[in-house]
Amino acid sequence: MTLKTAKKVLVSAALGVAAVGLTAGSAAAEWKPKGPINFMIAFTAGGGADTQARLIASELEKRKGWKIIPSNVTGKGGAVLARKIKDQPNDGTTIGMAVNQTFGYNMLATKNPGYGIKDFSYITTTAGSQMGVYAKTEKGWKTWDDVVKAAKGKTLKIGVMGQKLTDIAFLLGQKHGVKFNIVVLRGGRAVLNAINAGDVDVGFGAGIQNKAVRAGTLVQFLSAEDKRVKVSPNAPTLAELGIPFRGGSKFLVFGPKGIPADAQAEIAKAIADVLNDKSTKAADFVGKAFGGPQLFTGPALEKQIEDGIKESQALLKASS
Amino acid sequence: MSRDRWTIGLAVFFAAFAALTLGVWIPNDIETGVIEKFRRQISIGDAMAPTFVAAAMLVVGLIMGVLECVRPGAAEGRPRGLDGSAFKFVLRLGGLLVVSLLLMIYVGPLTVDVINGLGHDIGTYRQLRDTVPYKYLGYVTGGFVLVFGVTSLVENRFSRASGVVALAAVAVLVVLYDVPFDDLLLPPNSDQ
Amino acid sequence: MGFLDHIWLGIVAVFSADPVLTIAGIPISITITMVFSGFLGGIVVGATPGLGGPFAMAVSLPILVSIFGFDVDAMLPVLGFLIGIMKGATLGGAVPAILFNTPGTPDSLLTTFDGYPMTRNGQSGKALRVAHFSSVSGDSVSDIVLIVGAPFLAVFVERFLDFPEKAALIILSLAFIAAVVGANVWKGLLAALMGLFFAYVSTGQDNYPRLSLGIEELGNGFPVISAVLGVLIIGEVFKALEDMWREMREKAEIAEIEQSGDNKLHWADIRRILPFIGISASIGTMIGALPGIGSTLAATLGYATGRKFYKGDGNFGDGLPEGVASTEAANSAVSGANLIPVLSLGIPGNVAAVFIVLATETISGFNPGPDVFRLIPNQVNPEMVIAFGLFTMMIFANVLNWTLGGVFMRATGIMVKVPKQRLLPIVLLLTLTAIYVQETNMFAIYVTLGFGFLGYLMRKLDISVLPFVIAFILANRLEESMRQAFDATGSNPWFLFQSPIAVAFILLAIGVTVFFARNQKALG
Repeated sequence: MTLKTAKKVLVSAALGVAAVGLTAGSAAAEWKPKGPINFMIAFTAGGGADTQARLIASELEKRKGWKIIPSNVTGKGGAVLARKIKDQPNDGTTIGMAVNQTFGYNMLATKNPGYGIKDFSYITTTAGSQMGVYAKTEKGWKTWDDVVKAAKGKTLKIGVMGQKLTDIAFLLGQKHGVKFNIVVLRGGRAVLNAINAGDVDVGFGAGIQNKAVRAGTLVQFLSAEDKRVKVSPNAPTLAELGIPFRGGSKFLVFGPKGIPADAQAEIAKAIADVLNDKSTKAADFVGKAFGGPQLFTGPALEKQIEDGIKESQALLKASS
Repeated sequence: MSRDRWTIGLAVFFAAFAALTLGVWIPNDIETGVIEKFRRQISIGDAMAPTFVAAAMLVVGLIMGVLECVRPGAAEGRPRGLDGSAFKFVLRLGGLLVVSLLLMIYVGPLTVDVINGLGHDIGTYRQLRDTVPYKYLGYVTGGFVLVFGVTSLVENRFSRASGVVALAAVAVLVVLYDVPFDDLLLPPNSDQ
Repeated sequence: MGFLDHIWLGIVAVFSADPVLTIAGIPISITITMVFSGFLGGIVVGATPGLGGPFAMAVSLPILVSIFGFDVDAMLPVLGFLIGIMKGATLGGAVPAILFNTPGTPDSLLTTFDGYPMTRNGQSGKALRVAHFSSVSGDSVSDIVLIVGAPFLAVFVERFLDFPEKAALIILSLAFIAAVVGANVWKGLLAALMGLFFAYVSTGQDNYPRLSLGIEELGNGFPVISAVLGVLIIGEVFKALEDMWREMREKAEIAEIEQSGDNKLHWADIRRILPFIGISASIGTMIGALPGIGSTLAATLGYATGRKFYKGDGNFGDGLPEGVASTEAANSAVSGANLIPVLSLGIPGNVAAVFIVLATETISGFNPGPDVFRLIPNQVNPEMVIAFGLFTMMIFANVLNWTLGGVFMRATGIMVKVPKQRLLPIVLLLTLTAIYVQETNMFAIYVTLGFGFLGYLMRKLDISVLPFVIAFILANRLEESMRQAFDATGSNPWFLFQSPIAVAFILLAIGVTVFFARNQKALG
């Protein structure tokens, strides 16, 4: 046998095995990706959200035998990623992680976002933020009322990250008849730094403040989530103040529209399995950083996206 | 001292570029203005920073040009500029870069197409982008042509030694970037 | 937690985290290993004509990030390697200058003036030893100033500067760099403005990427690494390739000269050169602390001052150890002090500092700037721990420099035989690959090559690239701090002129530009 024919035999043998594998796979009705999965992450490499995504990816590889290649496609609150994913193959080999705001407020607040909610398949959420409003304890404010009282004396500076929180901060001021100077900073870490340096007086944080709130050097007045945040059970939600909006967001795994239902279900289930198994690094991290998994899929997730759109429209209207 | 035409050229180029940017590009390619009224709060729009920069470019370009005309040679460190052989070099180098990048991008997918065309169904290149040997085809070919080509251009001859060095270099880079890291893909595989 | 606790934690983080090997029963941490390998690599690269510290830092950064990840744990090992390269390359740079009269970098050009004549007198060993001693002394002085000075400056900045002052400070730094670097102030300003302009393409607050001409891939702006490495590294490679292409057959043969003179460094020699080292180290440190001026001017000033100061037999240029000492102490003293603006203001002042900033931007958890040295009651400030870890690594690298540097340095004379025309094309492919791996798309490669040609053109037209690069890196911070200052002052359009400090910064920026525009030749 020459080398060439040997190679041919090997190749056809391998192909035969692959073919058998495929039939067996379809018999078991479990979806398997054809080739490696591109997993594009809308967050800066090394941050909490990125770490979460990469931990989930490596656990999926271990459990399912899929090959997943993570990369970071950052910018414009997930809009850059959304525009990129839109035109990718929809066989389940390209998925992305952004936040639900990417398909809600961020999209609506832009004249020409370059994508719409119908362009995507929404696979699952993974976790959510613990958004709250906080300040340094040494300011002497104990509750939100104290902050409002102080704001009547002098204009306070409030640190936010992103336009949605700017709107909410504006509504907060309007509600109490005070004016805040709203400073948009790049990310929660920047807000925390500005609070610590005294450059702003109060600020929004998505969970980065929790450690210091627990230690008592920061104090949290409000929750910008559906419910009160875990670390400050006494801080009322915005809704309790009569502002029916949420500042928080959820991490969302999505792909281009038209991903087959079995593929979507399989990916969602695999991610849920990872995050529900307390022994995985991913679950441990999500527990520590985001207060545990929040897994919405299928119709429940679609309803969330639609609700998010309605809420954002209302917010844009209320604040303009 | 005579006026330096490269300095004047630069001044004119930047002044013209800045004027065009201010007059045409910025108004048409930025959504928010210099000042933006957003939620009843007046804030700085996306056009402000580029507008200031372009305006400063216009001013600096004009000053530089005027100074060179009024006080020729006032500007120290006059450029040597680009002569004919510089253009020749840039063209050759650019050509080599284009060829090697084209090879890098297309050799892999074309090989897979050919194999598929010969009746072996091995799947698409996208599916094989992390499979040996397909994933190395483009990078090794393009990388070799780049290194060997540029070396030969500079040496003005093809030598076996530089070919060996180029091949070894590409092999070392593959070992350095691809072999130890599971999540990294060599060019052009992340684009698939 | 006070400063002392943080210093201790920084030392512990460097020496005891993640031991990878054990030598004589002592566990050696990964960070220490990385400083050591960076240091060795730096000496070799520095001794290779045509390469230098920036090349090595640029090329290794993406590889390091691939190995160690983006996590905060990666910060010290990665910075350690870069610091090692920085220190090693400064030392190695003197080798080809002394042995073969071929300066690898502009800084070591002045080392050839007295170093090569010493080699011709058969005293290359002594010249290398003088260079080593002076270089390491200068470096140590500079590091001490950094370690003592940066935290205090940072605390001062943090206490007195609010949003408007910070914006004004960035403007001042950029104006200063643009005015000081290169021979022509106007070209320096144009370079800085170009850097700002490119950085503003496709960024900004609105979701539409401004000035992107509808190019989808530009979604989040030009990748920083593409722009910086393109202009700094690829541009230099193109230029060097062209020079070689032109001078193909004019390669001079390197003749071996027998080294039979006095090649030891005696106490008497050290006493002779010590005053020169002292003067030059002070000059280098002062210059290093100012952003943008860099080691070439430090070396020039050090050499010129030394020459004025010298009263003995012979002249500078005849092969005097004092000449080598004056140059090497001055240019080595720049590197430590250059990190003062980085750590206290977050503003990089030279190329090496650019890569340190690039590393901290790529890896999360450490953002150089005044925040770093803030004490948080009852809590550890992890960024301060990293900062003191960085200082610890610099001291460790200095110890390496003192103990092993000389031996390694003298062993790298062989590197001059590496043919540049084969090395540079490999550097080109290596850089492109490194960028692709980090950015994961071909567009980043095209952008890199585009900026490479821009860097090439700038070099051909004598426009300095440093103001461009630093402006590119600071551009978005500048815009953000402007927005923040505007918002924080309740939309006051005169926010830059509301406080005396901000006004002073702005006036200084204008003053610096005008001063250097009128006194071109003072620095040229």
